[in-house]
Amino acid sequence: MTPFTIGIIGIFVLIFLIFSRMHIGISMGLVGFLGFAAIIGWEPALGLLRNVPYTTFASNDLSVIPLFILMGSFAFASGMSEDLYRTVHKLLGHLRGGLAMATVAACACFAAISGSSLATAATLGKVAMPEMKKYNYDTALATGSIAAGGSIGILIPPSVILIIYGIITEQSIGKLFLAGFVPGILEALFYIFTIMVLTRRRPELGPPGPRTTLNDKLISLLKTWEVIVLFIVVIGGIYLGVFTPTEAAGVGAFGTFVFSIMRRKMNWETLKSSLLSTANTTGMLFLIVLGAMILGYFFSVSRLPFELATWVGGWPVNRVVVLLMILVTVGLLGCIMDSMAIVLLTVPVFYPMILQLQFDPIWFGILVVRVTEMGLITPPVGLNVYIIQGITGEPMGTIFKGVTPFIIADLCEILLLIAVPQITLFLPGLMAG
Amino acid sequence: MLALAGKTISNILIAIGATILALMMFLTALDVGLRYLFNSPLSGAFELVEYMMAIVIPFSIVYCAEMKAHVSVELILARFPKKFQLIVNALTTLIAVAFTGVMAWQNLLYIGEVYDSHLTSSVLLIPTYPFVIPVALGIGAFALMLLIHFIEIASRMVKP
Repeated sequence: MTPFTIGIIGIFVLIFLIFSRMHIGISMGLVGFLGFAAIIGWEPALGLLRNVPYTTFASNDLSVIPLFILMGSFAFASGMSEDLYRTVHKLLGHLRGGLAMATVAACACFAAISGSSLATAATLGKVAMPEMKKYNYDTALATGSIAAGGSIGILIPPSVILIIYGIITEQSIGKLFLAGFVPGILEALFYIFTIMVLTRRRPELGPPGPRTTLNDKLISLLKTWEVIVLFIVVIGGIYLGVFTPTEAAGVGAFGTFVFSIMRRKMNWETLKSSLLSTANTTGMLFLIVLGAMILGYFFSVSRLPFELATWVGGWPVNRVVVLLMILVTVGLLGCIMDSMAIVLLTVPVFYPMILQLQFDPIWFGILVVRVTEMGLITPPVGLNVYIIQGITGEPMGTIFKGVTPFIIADLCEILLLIAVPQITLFLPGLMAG
Repeated sequence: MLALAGKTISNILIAIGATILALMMFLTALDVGLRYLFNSPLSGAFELVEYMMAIVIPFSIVYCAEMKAHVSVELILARFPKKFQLIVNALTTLIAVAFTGVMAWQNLLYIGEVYDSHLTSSVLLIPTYPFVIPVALGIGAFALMLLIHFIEIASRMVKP
């Protein structure tokens, strides 16, 4: 058997294991180990199991992941997200569908200090849902806007998935962060526009909330200064080259910790629960990262990605067709798998193809992440939908009905990002280095 | 009995892991602060973070296994009868126990290998081998968690 054939068999075994509900990280590691052994031999394969865990875990580059997650946990515990919601609520609430728009906008702002979309959806679900209920919002629209809004978290920096993408493709994390910024904002605008269209056609879906005075608006805006300061320091610091991403994450987590103390929200219990929830998420992610690393060794000795890239490179079709095929594959996987796992699984396979076809790697990273993000709200396994279901207790069917218009908005935005790469690339282009 | 032992081990490891995680944050922030405010960075902060990660990450993985926060796909299997699901679940868990067990054993060997190589960090010259220990320990404890999980499933199969 050629290494290439073993590579193909490996992929099928992997899919089979994942569907048998084996943990995704362990499935990747196991297939990587067995495949590597089949091509190179047992001794080197055991060597892989010996070296890879330590080198993967004891990494300064990857320490950015727990630190950014910790920053998000502190922000969650500090009550900053509730204040954010109240502010945007005051700014937009009086509009038709305004409370749903405020939910989306608050999600986008919270995403700026949190790397996780699940935390965003969970926090906003607790604050925004009762408000929308109070003003007789349609349940589908209310839950849909929270689930969709929560998914913005992945793209707006800091983003754990963009860090992972940067590490496996050796692209600058700073540039990826900047590249994600505008598409993330655009996503929020697309969602807000969707809500506008929906409530214009059927005003009963989202009745206007109370009016507030200009004074009120300004005062509540001032209350969000911590979020603004954190975002400017962390992302600005990376942009200007003052910090490496790891340092920015450490400073951001520490700053959020200090702000939570100032808000009198930090005590022994909240500190403990923030650290534990960070450990839980980090453990889950690193198990997948570890598996993906081992799988990566197998893929590279099987030469599968390179053979595929050369093969696809010879196709007599426009390179955009290949790109669309890749994104559709990623999107379909997004319906059944978690974003992190998809990025770790598909990027090593598709990345050589992207280089071969001379697409911009930063742009591709944003597209892949944007597409997997859609998977958070698409059936059958839309993680955000499950979270919202858990918090609000509304039936799954209603929430999926509620997110449908947002999925259409997602598709429109992705097409726009493909058609106009400058939307993604102009900000990182301005960055020094 | 075994389940209780597993829980105790996980609690101890995560207490250590969470403390080191907090220290890692303070260390990184302190390093940046000292460098920009007083122009004197901590020497060796980079490698200290690496060593801290070698403790935080494996212990977090044990904790997350204890919390059973697993990412797995619930799509096709959910359509099969309960009994069949249990069997598949038991089988995949058993394979996972074997695989992580082998990995833990290899990492145990790796401690000796790194010890013999006299590898140290580059600035503070701290030996590397003590930091392979938590990795081996963490993976070993993870394998134990999976074993406990397997026993749970198996006992559910015997008396439904």
